[in-house]
Amino acid sequence: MSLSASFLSQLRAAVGDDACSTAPVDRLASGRDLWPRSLLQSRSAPLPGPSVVVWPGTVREVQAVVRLCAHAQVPLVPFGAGSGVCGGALASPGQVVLDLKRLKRVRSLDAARGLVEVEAGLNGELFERALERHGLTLGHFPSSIQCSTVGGWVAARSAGQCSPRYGKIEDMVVDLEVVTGEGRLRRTPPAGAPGPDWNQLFIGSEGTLGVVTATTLRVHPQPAHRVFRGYMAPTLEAGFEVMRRTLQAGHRPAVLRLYDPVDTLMAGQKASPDADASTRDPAGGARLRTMLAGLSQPEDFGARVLRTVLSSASLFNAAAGAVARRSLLVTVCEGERAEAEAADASLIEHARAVGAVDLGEAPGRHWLAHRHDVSYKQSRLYRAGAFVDTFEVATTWSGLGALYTQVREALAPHAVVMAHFSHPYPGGCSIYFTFVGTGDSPDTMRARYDAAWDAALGAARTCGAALAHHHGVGLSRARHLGRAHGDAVRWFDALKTTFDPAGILNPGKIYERAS
Amino acid sequence: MRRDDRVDVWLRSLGGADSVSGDPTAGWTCAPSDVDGFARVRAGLEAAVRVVRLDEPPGGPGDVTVSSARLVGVHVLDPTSGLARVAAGTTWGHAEWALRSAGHTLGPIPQALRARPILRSVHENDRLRPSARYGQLVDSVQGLTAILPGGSVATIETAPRRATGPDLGRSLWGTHAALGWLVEVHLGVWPLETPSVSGAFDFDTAESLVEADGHAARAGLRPGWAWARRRHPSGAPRLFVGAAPALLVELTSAHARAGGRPVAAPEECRRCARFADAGPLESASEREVPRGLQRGRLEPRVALVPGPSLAAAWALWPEAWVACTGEPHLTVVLHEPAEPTDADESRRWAALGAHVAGATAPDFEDAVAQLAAGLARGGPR
Repeated sequence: MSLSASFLSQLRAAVGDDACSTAPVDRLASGRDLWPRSLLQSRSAPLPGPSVVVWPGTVREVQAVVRLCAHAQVPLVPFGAGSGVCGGALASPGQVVLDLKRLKRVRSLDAARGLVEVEAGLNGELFERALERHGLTLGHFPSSIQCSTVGGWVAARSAGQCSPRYGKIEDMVVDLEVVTGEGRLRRTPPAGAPGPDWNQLFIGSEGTLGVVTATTLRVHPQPAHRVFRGYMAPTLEAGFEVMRRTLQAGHRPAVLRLYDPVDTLMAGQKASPDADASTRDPAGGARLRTMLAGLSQPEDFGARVLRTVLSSASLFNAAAGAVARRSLLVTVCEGERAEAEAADASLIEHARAVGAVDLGEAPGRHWLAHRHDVSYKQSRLYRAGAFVDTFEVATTWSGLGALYTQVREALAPHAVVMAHFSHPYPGGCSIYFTFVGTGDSPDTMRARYDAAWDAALGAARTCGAALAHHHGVGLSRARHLGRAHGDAVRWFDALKTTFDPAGILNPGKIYERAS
Repeated sequence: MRRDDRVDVWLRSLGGADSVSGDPTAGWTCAPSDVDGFARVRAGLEAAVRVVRLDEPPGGPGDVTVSSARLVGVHVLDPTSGLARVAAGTTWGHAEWALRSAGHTLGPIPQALRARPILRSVHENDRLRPSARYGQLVDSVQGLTAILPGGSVATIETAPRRATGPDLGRSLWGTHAALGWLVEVHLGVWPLETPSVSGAFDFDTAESLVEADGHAARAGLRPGWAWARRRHPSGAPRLFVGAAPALLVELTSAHARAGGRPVAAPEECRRCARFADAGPLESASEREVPRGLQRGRLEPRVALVPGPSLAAAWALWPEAWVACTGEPHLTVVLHEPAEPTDADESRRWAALGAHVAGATAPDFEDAVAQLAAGLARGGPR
């Protein structure tokens, strides 16, 4: 479907000639995110992409674009930096991509009250650096921080690596500035105000209810003190107990990352504190990553071994599951000295109680230095004909063991699987599965990928878990989320007709039917 | 429409044999005791083209209302995860008492909310329990079940936390039941800890109080409750705090940096002790407004005031209580006449409004009505 010349001319008039493009390179760059399924698809045929990309420079221009689209019934896909992994920003021919990166100002900063108002298109890393210059931090460190935007965090209900202390993005948002589907600019009342909390209905809506153009966020002083530590728990369940008891006692360590036995084994983590720190990689999967890197050299012996491993995922998973027992727990406690030390002392106490070995501070420090290592090496895998994806779910502490086992078993026939647990709460925890697979051809690889997702989501639904935690819903889970939420989806339908009466905003995302 | 003399029989068939009270002259009240009964009654009443109303007395001959009075009980407790399944007609006081019996707590429940059914708190978005340690009441509700227009049952299970996607359960908060009737909640609960002690601190100014509050929050000191009010006749603020004994020691040191002076030695937390003796509160009196508030014909009203505006708010409303949680906006609770007749009261409220954050939501004024209309059009999926 192509857009009319008159519509394109109106768009150009709204944002300026330089901020409107139908060039293939722009449509390719801004028409997709990092959803592995579309990356796999793109290996067979190029993705069609949107018809046009616009870069509004002001909120008024955003409103103008939305009004034009609503009037012409042209679907519109808001776009931040494209780091999503669920297809939430995937656009098709006949659609307009609204790239928000020119809205990147820090509008105001009130250090005394800990409030900052920032526009949606600002890059996460640049935002955090700007805060750092004032001795502040948002405390939000998603692994995508270098290639994601503030608006993207809000749209996808993002979580950062320090979520146990600072919360998810929804805990940081005080209010939102949103352009809804009629082109109307709305400001939500601040969190805590009497009446409905509109923030929580727009957060996580992935641009289906409105385009977030700015937000006021809570910020914190830079931590004065940090305590790093690592523990080797005798079992995964023992690791759960250390995290649960610490959080239910009211402490908030900044980082709690528990690696499952397979990930712990792959990372080469030694079981005692006297092991050479340089051989450990608590960011997970050091040996696996070394092998994965070899995939880009097809004649390499290691790559051939890895292909064999990935082709026999069931066998590998069974063998690794039988051998691996211990779980590595990495902790960072921060804040003022007394608070950080109290949280650390609580962890030590609960770790001792379950027989975990204190590995000292090296694992925590090493994790901090290498925490982004994995995220930016995935393209090698795709080039070499394999796929890697992640799947994050959440449940209560009492259901965590069963959820882990069942999702792992569901994924095991299709891909090599490992997991870590990095967003714990007093009531439960999320699980972050990483799975790697391959196939003889693009078609078989895609079939295997789809089978892995269907199996994993089916297992998670059977366990009554939340089907997503912080990556968003996009297209990858839209069908399943609608089924899981049943009649509650009617609330979303009502929200959609209220805030996007023309139904133009990011169609097909979140709930398959509703959009 | 059914003939009035058969309405009670019909209602019994929907809500249960013992669910109906009233008569053709005064009207009927139907109080189902389970979720399915609620769904059947709502669907039946809507199909009969009756206006459905919740927790209101019947308006006269032939009128029917629905009551949540029998939708009471703490159903399931998952002690490992700290999760309770509670019928939405249960009062906060009853829920806390039942949970305490099982070694758990919701955190401090203000006096004004103890007799309040949970569903009313959700429908009206009560903001009377800000706590640095336990959060707002909204944070306690981790999942919910509601009856939608048409009688369909919607459940959102968000434990342990909101997943991705919009938090649809929030659709119910503060919408006065327009988008559904809450019938069941999953409440996050905490293990009962060392008995709390309470202490009090005097400050010279509202500014120094706000500074101390912010400092304590930045230091990660999170008491179970912390409320401040002005002293008579000086008008200087006094902060009352309930916390574990060790935490109170740290708070004393933190508040001293902003000029906070301990008033007396810490003592047993009376707010907590009240629950220990309270009993299950199962009688009809649990739904009554606490006597102290009744006598003055006052009701609590919440305002969200930016920290720098606290002094101005106190100047207008000297008797206001202020919840201190380290947030950029302070929760100010005013007790004002349920039916204001005093012009001065109205003027003060209007003046205070200038300092209140989110006192009005002009960009969302019509949104709830539109949502309700959209929901009514949708019908069951």
